[in-house]
Amino acid sequence: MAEPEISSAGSGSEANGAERPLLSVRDLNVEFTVGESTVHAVNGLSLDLRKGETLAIVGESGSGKSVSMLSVLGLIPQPPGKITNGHVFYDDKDLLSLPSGELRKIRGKEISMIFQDPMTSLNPTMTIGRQITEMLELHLDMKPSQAKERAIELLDLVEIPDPSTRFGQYSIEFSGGMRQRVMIAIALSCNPKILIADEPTTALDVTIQMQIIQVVNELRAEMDMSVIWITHDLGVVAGLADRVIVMYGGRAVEIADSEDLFYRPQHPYSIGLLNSVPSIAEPVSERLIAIEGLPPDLSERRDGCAFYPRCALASDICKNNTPRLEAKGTGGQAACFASPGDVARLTEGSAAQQDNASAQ
Amino acid sequence: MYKLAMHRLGHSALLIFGVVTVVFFTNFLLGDPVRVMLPASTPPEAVEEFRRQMGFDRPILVQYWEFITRAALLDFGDSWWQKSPSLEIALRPFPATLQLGIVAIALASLLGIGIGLFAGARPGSTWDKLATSLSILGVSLPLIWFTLMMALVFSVWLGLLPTAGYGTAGHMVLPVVTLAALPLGRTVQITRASIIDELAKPYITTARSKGLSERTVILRHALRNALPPIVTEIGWESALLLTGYSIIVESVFGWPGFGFSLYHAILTRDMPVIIAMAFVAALVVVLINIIVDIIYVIADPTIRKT
Amino acid sequence: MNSIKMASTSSVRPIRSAQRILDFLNHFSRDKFATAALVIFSALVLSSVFADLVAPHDPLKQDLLNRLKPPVWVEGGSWTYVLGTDLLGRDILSRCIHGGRMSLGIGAAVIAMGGVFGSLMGLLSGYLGGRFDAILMRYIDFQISIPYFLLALTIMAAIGPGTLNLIIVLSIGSWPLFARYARSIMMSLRNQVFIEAARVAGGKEVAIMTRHVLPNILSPLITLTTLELSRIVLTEASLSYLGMGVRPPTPAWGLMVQEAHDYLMIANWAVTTPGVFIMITTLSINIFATRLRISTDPLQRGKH
Ligand SMILES: Nc1ncnc2c1ncn2[C@@H]1O[C@H](COP(=O)(O)OP(=O)(O)OP(=O)(O)O)[C@@H](O)[C@H]1O
Ligand code: SF4
Ligand SMILES: [Mg+2]
Repeated sequence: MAEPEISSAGSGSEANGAERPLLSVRDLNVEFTVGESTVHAVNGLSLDLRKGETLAIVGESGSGKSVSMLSVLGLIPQPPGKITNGHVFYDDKDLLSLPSGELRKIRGKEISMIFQDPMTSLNPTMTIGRQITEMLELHLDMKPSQAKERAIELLDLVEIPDPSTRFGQYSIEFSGGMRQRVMIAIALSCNPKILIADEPTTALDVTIQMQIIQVVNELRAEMDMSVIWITHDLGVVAGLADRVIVMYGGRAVEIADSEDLFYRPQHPYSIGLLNSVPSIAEPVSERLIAIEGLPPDLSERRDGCAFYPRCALASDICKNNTPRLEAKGTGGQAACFASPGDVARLTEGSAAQQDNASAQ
Repeated sequence: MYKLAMHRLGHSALLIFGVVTVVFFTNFLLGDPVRVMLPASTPPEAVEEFRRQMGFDRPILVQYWEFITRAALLDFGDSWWQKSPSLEIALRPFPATLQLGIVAIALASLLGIGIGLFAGARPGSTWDKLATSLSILGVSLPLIWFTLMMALVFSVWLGLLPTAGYGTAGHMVLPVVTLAALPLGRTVQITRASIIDELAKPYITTARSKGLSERTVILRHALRNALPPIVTEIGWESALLLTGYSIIVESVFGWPGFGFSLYHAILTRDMPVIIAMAFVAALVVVLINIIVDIIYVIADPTIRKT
Repeated sequence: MNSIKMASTSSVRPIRSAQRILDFLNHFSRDKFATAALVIFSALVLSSVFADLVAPHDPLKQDLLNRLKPPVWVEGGSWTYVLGTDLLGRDILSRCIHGGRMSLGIGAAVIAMGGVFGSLMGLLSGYLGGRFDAILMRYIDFQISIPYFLLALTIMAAIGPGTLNLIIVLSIGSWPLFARYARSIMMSLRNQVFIEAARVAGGKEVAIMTRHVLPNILSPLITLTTLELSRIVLTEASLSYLGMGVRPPTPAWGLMVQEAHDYLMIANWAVTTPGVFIMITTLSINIFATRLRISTDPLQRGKH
C-alpha cells in the first residue's frame, strides 16, 4: 500500500504541516460519461483534512464539490461516473483501491456523510428509528434493544423533542430541519472521525440553518470529529470553518485559513466570490454581483487556466499554461499566475465597487 | 385513507356495472337472441311467437331494467342450453382456473422480481443484457403459437408431458408455463426499471454511505419503495391472465376452467352465461385491485397516516 | 441567503435540435439490435404492401395434389413451395405474406382510427380543461382498468367476426391510450419551462415548435404507437385464432394457426410458420421501441 506522500500541495501552512493529515486527497480525477461526451467533473484535486479542524469547500454550482467528496467514499454512481486517477489516504489506507468490503467498514463508522436535501435523503418507508439502529447493529454489533436505546439517546442529542415517540415515526412526519437533525443523528451514531456535510443547510430556512450549524459545531467538539463542510454560503464559512478550499472547474484554486480568504484572497475567482456576497441591506434583486461569463464547460478539456475566459487579470501566459497551487505570501496557496500586487489591487477595486453599488 | 377506500369502492362498483351493461347491450342489441335460440329453419311466425313469449319484443331498455334489477340480486337467469343458473355455470369452472392462475402468477412474480432485481442492480452488465433480452422475448410471444409449440415439443416430440387434460400435476406444467411467460417478461421489465429508478434516489446514497452492503441496500431499502409499480403490473397481468390468456391456454390444453367454459359459452351463444361470466371476470379484476391496494398499504406504511 | 450559486447555464444549455438528431441517429445506428429490428420490421411492412408482387403464389389457390408439403429443408419439400403447403395445398409463404398485409393492415387501421380519434379527444380535453377534461379522464381511467380481451371477444361474438368489425372493436380498445398521451402533451405544452426559456430568448413560435417541442413529442409517440401496434397484432391473432376475428379463407396469421391446429402432429410447419411471422413482428417492434427509448433519453443510456 502506498505511503501517503506529504506533498506541498494542500498540506499548506507551516504551523502544523508536520502533523499528518487525517484524510488526504491526491490528484483526484472523476469523469462522467453522458451520451457521447465526457464531463470532467474533478480534475486533479488535492486536499488535506487535519485532525479536529473544520474545512469548508466553496465554489459555484457544478464545480465538483459533491462529486469529489462522494468519490472519497466511493459513492458516485459508476457508470456513468468513473474515478480515473487519484488516491484518498485515510488511516494508512488508500480508500480508492480498498476492497469494497473494507471500504464499507469505513463508511458510516469512520467517515460519515450528510446531504443537501433532507427531504429525499431519508428512506420514506422506513421508520426513523430503524434508519439509526441498522447502523448501530451493523458497525457496533449492538443488539436491537440496545440499539433502540442508543438511537433514542442520539435523537435527544440532536435536540429532537420527544425522541421515543419520534423513534417510531416516518420521515414525512418531520419538518425539513428535523429531518436534517435525524440525518445528523444517523451520521454521528457510530462516533465517526470525519463528518462530510454536503450543503446540509442549503434547503433550510435561515433560522433552522443556524440551529443545524450549531448542533454540528457542538457535537464536533464533543465527539472530537473533523468536519468537511461543503457550502455555497460564505456566511456559513465565516462562522464555522478553520480553513477554506475554493474550487473552480473541478480543481482547488485557493486554499487558505478562513480569515485570510476573507481579508486577503489570493485568487481572482475567490475575489469574485467574495464580491457576490450581498450585504444584508440590499434588496433581493440586486444582491448578486455575479461573476461575468459562464462556468467552464467541463466536457472539453483545454490547456490553460480554467478561469481564463472570465478573469480580469488574465494574461497570455494563462491561456496555455495551467497554474498549479503554490504558496502565497499570506500562508495560503493559490493557483494563479497573476502577481500578488495585481491581485491585491483587484481586491481593493472590487471592494470599492461593491461599496458604491450598495450606497446607491 | 377512508376517503380513498370509498373512492376505490365506488370505482369497483362502476367497473362491474359497466362491464355487465356493455356485454348485455352488445349481446341483446347487436345480436338477436331469438335467432340464436331457434334453429334457422323455424318459420317466421313461430319465431315471432317465441319472441313474444320470451319477452324479447319489449323495448330494450325495459328488458335491460328487468335484467339489471335481477342481476343486482345476483340472478343472471338460466343458461339457455343447460337448465341451471348462469352464475353457477360461470363460477363452477373458476377454481380450476385459479389452480393454474395462482401457480403461474406466483411463478412469474417471484422469478420476475428476482431476475428484475438482479438485472437492475447491475445495469449494463452481461447478466442485465441477458435478462433484458429474455424479457423482450417473453413479452413478444404470441400466446396461441407458444402454447402449441410447447405442446408440440414437450408432449408430442419429447413425450414428457400429457398433451391435454386435467388431474395430475403433470397436466399443470404446460398450461402454467405458457400462462406465466408473458407476465414473467413484464415483471422483469418493470422490476428492473423500477429498481433502477429507486437506486438513483438520494436516500440510497445515504444508505450506501452508512456502510450497508449492496444486498441490504437493495433488499431492505430500495425494494420496498420500488414495489408499487411492480405490484400494479403484477395485478394487471393477473387480471389479464385469469380473464384473457386463460381462454387460449385452457382451450388448447383442454383444461376445464373459466376460459375454456367462456369460450364454450361464446361458441354456443349462451348469452346469460356469457354475461354472468363477464360479471365474474369484472369481479376478479376488482378483487385483484383490492389485493393490490392492500399490498400498497403494507409496502408503504405512511399511506395509513395520510 | 448569502448564496453564491450563480446561474449555471452550462447544465441547462439547450441542446440544439440538429445536434440532437445527429446524436440520436449516431447512437441509434450504432446499435446493432435496433438497426436489425428496424430493417426487419421495414421488410415486413414492405412485403405486406407489395404482397401481390412478392408472394410467389396466389394465397387462396388450392393445389390438392400438393397438400401438406413440408418446407424445402425437410425431406419431401421443394423450392416450389418454400415453406410448404397447408391442408388445402395453399402456399404457406404466400399466405404468410398476405397474412402480414392483413395483420399489419388491421394494425395500421386501428392505429389510424383509434390514434386519430384518441389524439383529438386528448388534445380537446387538454385544451378545454374543466368538466369535459375531468369526465373524459375519469372515463379513460375506467376503461383502461378493464382487461379488454374478454370484452373484445364477447363483442366480436355478438356482432359477428369480420375485418371491419374487428377494426372497430380494436379501435375502441385503443383510443384511450392515445387520448391520455395527447392530453399530457397539450398540458405540458402550456407550461413547459424550456419553451418559456426559448420564447424569452426570442425564438419564433414555429422554430420553437420544430426545434424544442417536436423532438420531445416524437419519441414517446413512436414508442406508444409501435408498442400499441404490437399489442394489436397479438390481440388480432388471438381473436382470429378463436374464430372471432378475420374470417376464412382470408389469410391471417392467427387464423392460419387455428386452421392448422388440428393437424399439428402431421404438419407442424403449417402452425409454426405463421406463428414465427407473428413473433418476428412483435419482437422487432419491441426491440425497436425499447432501444428507441434508450437512444432518445440520455438518462436511460446508463441503464442499458
Ligand atoms: N450522476 C451524474 N451524471 C452526470 N454528470 C454528473 C453526475 N453527477 C455530477 N455530474 C457532473 O459533475 C459536475 C460536478 O457536479 P457536482 O455535483 O460535484 O457539483 P457541485 O459543486 O456539488 O455543485 P452544487 O453546488 O450544485 O451541488 C457537474 O458538471 C455535473 O453535471
Ligand atoms: S491564472 Fe490567469 S486567468 Fe487564471 S485566475 Fe490567474 S490571472 Fe486569471
Ligand atoms: Mg453538490
